[in-house]
Amino acid sequence: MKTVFYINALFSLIFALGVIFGKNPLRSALSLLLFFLTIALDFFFAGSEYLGFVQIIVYAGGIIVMIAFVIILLGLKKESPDYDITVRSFTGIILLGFFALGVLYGLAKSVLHLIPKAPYFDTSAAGIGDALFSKYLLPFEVASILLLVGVVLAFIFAKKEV
Amino acid sequence: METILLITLFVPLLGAIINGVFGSPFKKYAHWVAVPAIGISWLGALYLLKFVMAGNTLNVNLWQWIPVKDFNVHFGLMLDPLSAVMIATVTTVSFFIHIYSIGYMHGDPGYRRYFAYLNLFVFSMLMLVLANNYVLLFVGWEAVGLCSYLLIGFWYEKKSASDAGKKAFIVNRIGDAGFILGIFTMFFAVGAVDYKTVFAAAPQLSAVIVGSITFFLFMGAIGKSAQFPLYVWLPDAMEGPTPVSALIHAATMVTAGVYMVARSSALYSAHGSIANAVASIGAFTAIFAASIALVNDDIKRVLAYSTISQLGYMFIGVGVGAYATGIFHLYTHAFFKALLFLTAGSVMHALHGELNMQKMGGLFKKMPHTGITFIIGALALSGIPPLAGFYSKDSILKEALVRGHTTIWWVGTITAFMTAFYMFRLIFMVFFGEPRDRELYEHAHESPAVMTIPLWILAIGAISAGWVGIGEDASPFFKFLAPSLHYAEHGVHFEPAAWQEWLPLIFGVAGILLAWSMYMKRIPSPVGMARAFKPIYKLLKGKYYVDEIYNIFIVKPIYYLAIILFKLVDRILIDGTVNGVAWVNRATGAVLNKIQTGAVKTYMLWIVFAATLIMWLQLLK
Amino acid sequence: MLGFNDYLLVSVILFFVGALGVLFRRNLIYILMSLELMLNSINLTLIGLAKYSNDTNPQVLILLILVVAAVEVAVGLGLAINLMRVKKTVDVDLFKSLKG
Repeated sequence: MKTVFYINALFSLIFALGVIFGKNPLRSALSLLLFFLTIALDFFFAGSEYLGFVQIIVYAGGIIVMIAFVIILLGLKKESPDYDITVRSFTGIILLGFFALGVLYGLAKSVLHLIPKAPYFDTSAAGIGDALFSKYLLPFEVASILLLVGVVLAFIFAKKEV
Repeated sequence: METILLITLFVPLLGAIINGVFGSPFKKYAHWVAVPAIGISWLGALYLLKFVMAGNTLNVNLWQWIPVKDFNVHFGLMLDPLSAVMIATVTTVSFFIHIYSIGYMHGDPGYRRYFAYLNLFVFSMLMLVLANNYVLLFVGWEAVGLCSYLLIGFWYEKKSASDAGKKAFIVNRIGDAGFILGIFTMFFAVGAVDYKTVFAAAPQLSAVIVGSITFFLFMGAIGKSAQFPLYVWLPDAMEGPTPVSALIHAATMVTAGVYMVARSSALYSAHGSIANAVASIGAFTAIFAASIALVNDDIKRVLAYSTISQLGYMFIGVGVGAYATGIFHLYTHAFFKALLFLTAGSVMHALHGELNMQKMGGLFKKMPHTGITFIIGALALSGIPPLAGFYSKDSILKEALVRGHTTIWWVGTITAFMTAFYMFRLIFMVFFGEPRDRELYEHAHESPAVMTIPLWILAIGAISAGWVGIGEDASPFFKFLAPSLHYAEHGVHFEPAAWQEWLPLIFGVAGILLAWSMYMKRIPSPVGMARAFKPIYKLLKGKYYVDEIYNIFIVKPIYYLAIILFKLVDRILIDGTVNGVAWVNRATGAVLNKIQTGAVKTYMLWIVFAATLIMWLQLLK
Repeated sequence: MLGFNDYLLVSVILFFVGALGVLFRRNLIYILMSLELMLNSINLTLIGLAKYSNDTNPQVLILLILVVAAVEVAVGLGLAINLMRVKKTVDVDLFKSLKG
């Protein structure tokens, strides 16, 4: 199990690096799509098929298509990578290194002790729906408002005369 | 019945709100809101009067207003004979003043504002008289002060008018400060502020406590009812529109002090010395104001001083302990003083705002309605039987005498002479004789019916209002009021002699005759008299220089103190602090400004930095 | 034995890669894609959390993150189109007008 997980993780990493170091934007987008699929696989491994399918539908089916469309629309061509090689970026990498170090140090110290909360692990769409419409009704509604705002904003931004 | 009480009280407020807030579409028709509002209130008041006359009273606590531990104030209304008489008088007079205003204020740019204020004024006064506790009374008390400020300064673009408004407000404030102290003392001593509890507790209180409560309350009354030494705002209040003067003088404001003393009769009866002070101040004010009116040439100011003087009479009445006579005079005075002001307004209206009596004359022929009604009002004010003023003034003076206040009686009687003299001096100068200013005379005209009809109705009131009080304690008016008032036992009982009963009337007639001979026949000629008594004449003409004295001893020192405070405390201390805070903020902003580069990625760097920092702080804790 | 720590390790690395992308790329489209990487790494953590604490709640959180990601991409891309139209470029380092 562990081996499968890490092989999958290796693929995730490769695709992620492919995204950020890509020269052709369209190819990067395809790399991102594959990355999303590996994450969806992780969801399946964890036993949450529902979320896995949602991941594929929303990310692969929606977001990637949208990104690809925009890339084509803007006519972004293959270009030499526009890396931002500055003092700022290297400060950033050092800081991120400290950040990652902190997490690893925490893992080594086993700071996080997980305590099983519920007697069983409900991964079905019904279980998630139950939680979503009872305990998390308010966040759910807020999310719907957020979507609405996003729709309106995207519409306004994309309009010709701004 | 509570519903009718609420309608009576709140419909004028509703009218004020409609006109004041929503009224702009029907600017020119503001009176279609204001007059019916007062009309409904008037009918309600009359109905309530009938209800009380049938022997009922009402005392309702509508809701709890201020509940603070031991301190409880209800929004409570009380309807008893005293407040019933007051609301009936107030709404009746106000109603006719409202009708008159339609004609008088016609075409004024502030027409709508005017009616909104007028309605608010009546509402405030009704609130004042209907309250069942001192705090709510104080609300009405302040509200009439506010409305008087708004209306005196109604033509605010005129500097003298806005100054007069401010003066009225500030002078009233001095008295109101005393009134608040009175309420505090009351709460301190009794632990309650509603009439019932306070009056019930009054006999048990110590003399010092009752004395200070009544003293402080009377301070408020001095301010509100324009008694010496706080009367100075009332003559200046003539800057407002004339119907407003009528309203202030007759119905809605200056009578509040008299009402308050009568309402607190239980307190004033409990301790005599302050009541005596009330009577003495009243008597002094009466003769003081009347003497100024003797030589004044401004038609409205003469009336203003006469109001101050008549209020002095009312305070004599309530001060000597004959509360009903004070209220009786208040009630008759409301009619003839409203009448006098409205007729004066009619004269002004005809003469395009001219106020100087020296320029008038012979107007009787031009304005017969105004002239006759004015003479009726003046006769009533001078105390000529069978007009209203005779009965009320007579009963006050008689009560003063019966209770042994001989000096006050003499002062009042001489004032009666002066009153008759200055009123008829005014009549002879304005309505009879030769016109002094031809051009003004030629343009003079009688006022429209919307103004003269209220005059006649009020004239009927000025004639007949006194008849309900003939025979004093045995009369219907006095019997009706008796349950609301608490009389003190007075040891002295002096039986007035026959000449003493008739002397005020004789003095009044003598005043009229003297005015007739001086101003119609010129024997002795007014100019000669002025020359003969030059120092006195100058003193009276200068209104005893009270305004000047106040200016030197009160206004100027406060002004300089304010300048010192401004330069030292405000400029250096407070401004320094405020500017210092602003400076610190600006300096910090200038530093932090550098961080905000506009480059999104730099911001992200900061986020990563902060997240890392927090994480490591957590890990290494 | 696969544990929560493995999930955490992988997601930290992926998050790191995403953040690297945001920092090192100047093209707005790339930055948006890198942001998606970061959000997904968080999703990975959450699913691990759900699995190893036997809890349904993190899954709800994943759904909400999904919503946020979708909205963010929609708005971000709209912005990109607009910027391209007005400024003829999507290089974020050139947009510095929002400063104090």
